[in-house]
Amino acid sequence: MLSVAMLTWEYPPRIVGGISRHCMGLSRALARAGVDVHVITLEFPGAKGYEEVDGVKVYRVRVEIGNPNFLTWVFIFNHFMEKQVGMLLQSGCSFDIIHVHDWLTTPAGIALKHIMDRRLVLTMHSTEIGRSTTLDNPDAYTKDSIEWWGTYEASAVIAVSSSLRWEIINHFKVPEWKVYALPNGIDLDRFKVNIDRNSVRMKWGIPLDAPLIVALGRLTSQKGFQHLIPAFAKILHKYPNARLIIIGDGWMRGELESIAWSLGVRDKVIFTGFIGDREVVEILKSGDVMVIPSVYEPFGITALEGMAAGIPVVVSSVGGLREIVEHEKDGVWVYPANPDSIAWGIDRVLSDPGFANYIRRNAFNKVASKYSWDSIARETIKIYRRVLGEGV
Amino acid sequence: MNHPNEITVLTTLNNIGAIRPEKAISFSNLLASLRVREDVLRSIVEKLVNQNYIEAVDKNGEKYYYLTSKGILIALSTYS
Repeated sequence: MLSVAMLTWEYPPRIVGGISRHCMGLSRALARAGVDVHVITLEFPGAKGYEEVDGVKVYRVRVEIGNPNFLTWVFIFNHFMEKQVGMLLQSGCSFDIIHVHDWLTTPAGIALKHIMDRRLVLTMHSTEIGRSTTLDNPDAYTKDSIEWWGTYEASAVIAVSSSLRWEIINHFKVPEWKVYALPNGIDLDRFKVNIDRNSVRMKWGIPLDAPLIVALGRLTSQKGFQHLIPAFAKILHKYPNARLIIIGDGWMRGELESIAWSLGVRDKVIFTGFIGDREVVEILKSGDVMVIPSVYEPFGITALEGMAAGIPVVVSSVGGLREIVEHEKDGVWVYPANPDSIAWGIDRVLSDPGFANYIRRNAFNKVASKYSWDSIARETIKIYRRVLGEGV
Repeated sequence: MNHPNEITVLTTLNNIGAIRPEKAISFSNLLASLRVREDVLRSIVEKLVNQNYIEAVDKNGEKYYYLTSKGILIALSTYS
């Protein structure tokens, strides 16, 4: 049986970004396909130190020492992850593959590769050069260097979209044959819930007849909500009763609230903060249009979530979003960082219910056929077999 | 650093490992770590407690602080 040690800094219920859901979806699908999957991740309040869920063994490492400096802390938790894998080896486990996600667990992955003489696979969900656009400080330069180091040491690099694959090949000068594009997947069962649209709206203080615009994601500048709120202010000229609900939280929340205040629309923008998975699905299913206004998005898992929930999606024409959504067929493209264009996209959906239904149906059919975790796990296993020299 | 914002306090607590009651850090140690005026830090800490991003425990008459799960996710959002 193929055995994998998967290292990730986030795994549910520790959900910072897309990596967490990716690792859970992939590891469960790998387990269904007969792979022995051990996930090594970081502790989180209320979560068990060890548990086996749906065939996946999850170890949440306690990091007993820290340091105020972020990079130092990252290297410390990598050490504790290595220690956890060491303990598993001592207890009789063996691994064929070390699979790490992003630069955050790359140092431990590289060390384990050499200590255990095993193959390393690296999945990249984004790059520092993409996130920060310039490597203008020492920390960014170090992260970029660790990313390069990971692409050098790994036997295979998996990028979550074709655009990210080319970014990796070009920026890190990695041979094309070594880098694969494999998308994120989606668990459709999460969205198979019946909801009462009216009671959801009442719960959040949204008028029953208000056009409801939904946005979802970490409140960081990369996600582009600072451009969505001015677009929403423009939309209110045509739809004065509209509401914007922003699901999620992050360091930028105060700034976003200030933008809403300064534009005089704060009373029509709802910030939910962190909410449970069920509530996220309820809101998505109660909305009229979902906007993903990212300025940088290597994949865009929230687009899949909207498409699976059956809400029409309007996305920035960047990175992975351009690959997931086909303009005017299963969603609408808008220019990134452009409130006029974003407002146009929202109106394109709100003003034409027939079109909204058309893209909603196409989108659902696409996610159901193209983005299942089981098919992504099958492709991942092919990559594992290839790097093990087994051929496929 | 004279005026740390709330995020600096949250990320510092995360990085030093103050994410459970037994790893909580005292106000005086946090003050020394951040090198900031006491009244500034006190107002930030009060705000973060009210927002449920951090919690306080009493140890020997002194307040010790650690991140809640919500506070951890906010802190990590700056790095992701």
